[in-house]
Amino acid sequence: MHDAASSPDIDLMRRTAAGDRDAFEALYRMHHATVYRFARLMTGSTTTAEDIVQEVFLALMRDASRYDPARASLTTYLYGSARHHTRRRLLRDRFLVRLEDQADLCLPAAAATAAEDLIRQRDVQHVRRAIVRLPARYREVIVLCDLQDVSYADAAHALGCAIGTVRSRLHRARHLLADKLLRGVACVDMARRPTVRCEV
Amino acid sequence: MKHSERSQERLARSLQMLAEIEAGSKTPSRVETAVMARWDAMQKRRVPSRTRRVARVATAMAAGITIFGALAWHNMTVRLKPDTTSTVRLKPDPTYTTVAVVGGPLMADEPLRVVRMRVARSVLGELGIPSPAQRGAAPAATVDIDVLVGEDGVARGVRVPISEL
Repeated sequence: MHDAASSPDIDLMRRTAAGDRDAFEALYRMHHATVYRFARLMTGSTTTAEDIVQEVFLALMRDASRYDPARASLTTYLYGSARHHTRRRLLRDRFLVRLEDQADLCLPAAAATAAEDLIRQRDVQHVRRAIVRLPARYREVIVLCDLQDVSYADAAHALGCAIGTVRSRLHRARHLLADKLLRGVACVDMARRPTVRCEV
Repeated sequence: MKHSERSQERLARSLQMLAEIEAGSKTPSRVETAVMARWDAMQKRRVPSRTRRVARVATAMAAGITIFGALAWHNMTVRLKPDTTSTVRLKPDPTYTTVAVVGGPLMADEPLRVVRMRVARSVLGELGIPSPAQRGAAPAATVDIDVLVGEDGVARGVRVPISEL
């Protein structure tokens, strides 16, 4: 499953298992961003993503000796671990309501003089929220395959399912997401309509 | 262009935009600091000090001695205990005597069942046991005998009361 590029990972993991601090630090620096991005896109929260990065790397330092390079590349292994911790975290926090989520999906329209970057920023926020509101199984494949450029095979390995399942979930996830975005645009367009004032 | 194609195209653009923005995001340095602090704490716990090593060896030795002592004590008590197995040893009975061996040979320590039977006196003759009738005494119609039955259900021997001989 793993390629030649992951051979430094194998060496670093071996050294980490032996207690080499520098090796662990190098592993962290190589892979922390991948785990962080995945967790942030999955949870929609920066602080939760930071916690998940910590949990994933704590698990890695504990179980470094149990990593088997013949089964999967380290990146795939870390995606699997990040997914596990993200799911656990989401399950734990399911009764909590985040303050950011209280804003409605229909965002108020930007002012007519809004700059291009503001519109872009608003659109990105819109997409991000739409992704977070997808069911977890669809969110995972969108985040892995469309946003992180992970191959279908690696995604299937990280998610513990068949490649065909990844394909079908991705297809369904894109439709759901497009639908959510379309509804969001309709709401924005409604808000953009000029207000008609009646003069008495 | 169809409506669904337009929405898919828009989705692809949005996702690409989000992926580009996300590509630049990195974990704050405080997370790395926290993770490395945990690493250091874990490694410190892992490396045993001299005292801890000595304590560990002493604990292991004490556990070994305890286990050895417990096993020795257990073996000794087992040896001293009387044999309470369910095997019934046939004691010599003054009123009975084994007079005939039938069936297969009796093996050493073979478990036997004793079946008391009331049989016609003529059966004794068939087994080759001289009956009182043959010796001129007043015979009883039946006689109680013990048949020793082996584990395979085959009779090994017959015990006949001395009074009947």
